[in-house]
Amino acid sequence: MIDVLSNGLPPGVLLIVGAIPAVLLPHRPSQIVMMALPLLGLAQLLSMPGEFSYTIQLFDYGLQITRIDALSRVFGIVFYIAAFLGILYASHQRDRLQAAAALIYAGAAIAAVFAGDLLTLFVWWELTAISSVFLIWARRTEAALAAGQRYLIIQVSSGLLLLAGAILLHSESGSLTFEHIGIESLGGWLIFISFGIKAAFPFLHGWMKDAYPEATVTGTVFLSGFTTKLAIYALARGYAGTDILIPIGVTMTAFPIFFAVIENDLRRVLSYSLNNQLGFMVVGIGVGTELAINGTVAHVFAHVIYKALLFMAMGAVLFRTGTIKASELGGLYKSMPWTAFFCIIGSLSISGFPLTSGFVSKSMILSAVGFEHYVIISLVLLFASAGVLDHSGIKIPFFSFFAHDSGIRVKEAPLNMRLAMGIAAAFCIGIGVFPEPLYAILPYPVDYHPYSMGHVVTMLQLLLFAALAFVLLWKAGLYPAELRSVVLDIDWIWRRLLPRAWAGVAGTWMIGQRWFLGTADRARHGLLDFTRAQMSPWTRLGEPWPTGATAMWASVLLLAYLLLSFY
Amino acid sequence: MLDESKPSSGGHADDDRWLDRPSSVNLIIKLLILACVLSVVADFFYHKHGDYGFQEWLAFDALFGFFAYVGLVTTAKGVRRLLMRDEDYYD
Repeated sequence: MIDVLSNGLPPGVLLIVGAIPAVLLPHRPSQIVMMALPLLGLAQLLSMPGEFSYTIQLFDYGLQITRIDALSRVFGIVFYIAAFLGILYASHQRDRLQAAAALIYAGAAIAAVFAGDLLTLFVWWELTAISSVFLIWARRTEAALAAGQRYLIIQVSSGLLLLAGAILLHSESGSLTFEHIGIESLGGWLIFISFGIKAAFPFLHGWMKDAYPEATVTGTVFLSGFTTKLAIYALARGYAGTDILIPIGVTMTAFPIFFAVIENDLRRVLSYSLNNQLGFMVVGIGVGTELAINGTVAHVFAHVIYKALLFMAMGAVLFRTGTIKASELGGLYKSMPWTAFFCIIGSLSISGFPLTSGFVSKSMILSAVGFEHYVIISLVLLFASAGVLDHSGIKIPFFSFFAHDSGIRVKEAPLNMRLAMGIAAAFCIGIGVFPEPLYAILPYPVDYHPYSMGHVVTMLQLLLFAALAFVLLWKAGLYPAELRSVVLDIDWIWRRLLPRAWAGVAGTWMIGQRWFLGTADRARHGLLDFTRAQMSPWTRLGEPWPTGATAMWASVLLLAYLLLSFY
Repeated sequence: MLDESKPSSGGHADDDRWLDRPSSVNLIIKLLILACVLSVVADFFYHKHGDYGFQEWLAFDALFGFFAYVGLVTTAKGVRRLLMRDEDYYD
């Protein structure tokens, strides 16, 4: 027991345990403890050996509760950074429910990354689902409550698929170790779908665009960091080089950007954008070469930070103005210049401009796909890169901070929010200018030079001309105006179609039941009325009969019986 | 640290910022066009070698970026006709 505590506790548990003092202490001390936790955790992780595992015995199963290797380590590092940024960003907030939920959620996600077997992974997988939903419910609106319920059902289902798959795999191979799984068996497929739900595969993505924008200002920042990247980690571990991931990923890069163009809720635009970014990573995992996996992991690292930065900026806008609808915003750079500035750095990064983190990570994936000569995939990824420029590079900062001045004047974001955004922005530029430290912690040795003339010029051409296209469309009045609206997506099936269909089935059943009961009732009454009518004293059957006639009819009946008995 | 300031509308002293002037916006657009031209000119100054033959064409990425963007936005407007509903659709 003492051995477990001193050596084997998976990284991340520290955050979960830390939720207790963080909730019990008064506001200021609790914020200091909370901010110290991820830094301590990070220091602990960095001090541990590069390859390490710890197994406990539970009944007949050896559970590898801690496994540190090159792949899990880099995810752990970026998750700790994301946790720190999120906690700093939320530190003005006096909401113990959210504080505890965020710590447990981040801790569970980190522990999940270091799970060496499928059962341990399942436990943490479900804990991320259960803890994170409170970041949605803490918004305390009806919409958030409903969206949170839908989110929880889908997330927990993902965990159950994982468990079912793990049991099947165990019955086939006798092992629960979480290594390469592949889709050759039913168990492998179930786990693939489980990961696919959390990674927001096409048609399984509805929960994200549904729930993330309904979460609290600070909750979405946490949510954007962990769940989907945990799924990317799990896919990279279990399904690297699985061909089907390439078409899946490329669909994810292209499909959501059309929705992002026309969506009015800017945090929902960012959710679509998140979905698109996950597509690049899924393609990288599908390609599966060392360069592709390195590119995917580098992209995760860069993405977690710039995506958090963008959600922080939009969260700050929502916090100050009370709305995040593009149709109601504009001109906010006048009152929130720092937020606007940091947001633009996040936008440049996600778009992949040279000297930002997105450039040094996305180029690796594009190169890895190019080396394999998947020409159509390469072209779609280029198209999707132009799409990123539209929704995250232009739409997010332009419609909130510039465009038409909405006349809204508010205070700048609180200091702690600006600090968190500033640190995130510094990471975006720092990684972009000095990619070597990031490259050094990638799973495979890196021999890649993003700043070749060719990479820089082609990326600049793509982005600058796409921006030029925006200017021309905007000037010509052809860019779609921001309208108060919702855009239907796959979640329409369970938010509208299924409830309506159910109402239809239930309604038909009710009508059928009413008809049946009514008819039966009428028939019963009809029979009673008829009998009563025949038997009443005033009818032919009901009136008193003379004795002779009765005896005669009785004899006729008896005779009839007698005759019948001969046959 | 809760925010007590209410969003307000109307005339403001800071309505005339540098960015509010059309001349500034035009300047930014001109700079963007200049950057576009420079990025194409750069194609002449190094040996292009892409993973695919077409990537070696002059200004391939420029043209691709431009038309991809226009295509995306135009298509999305079509999608909007099909999928856009009132804001209170789900309420």
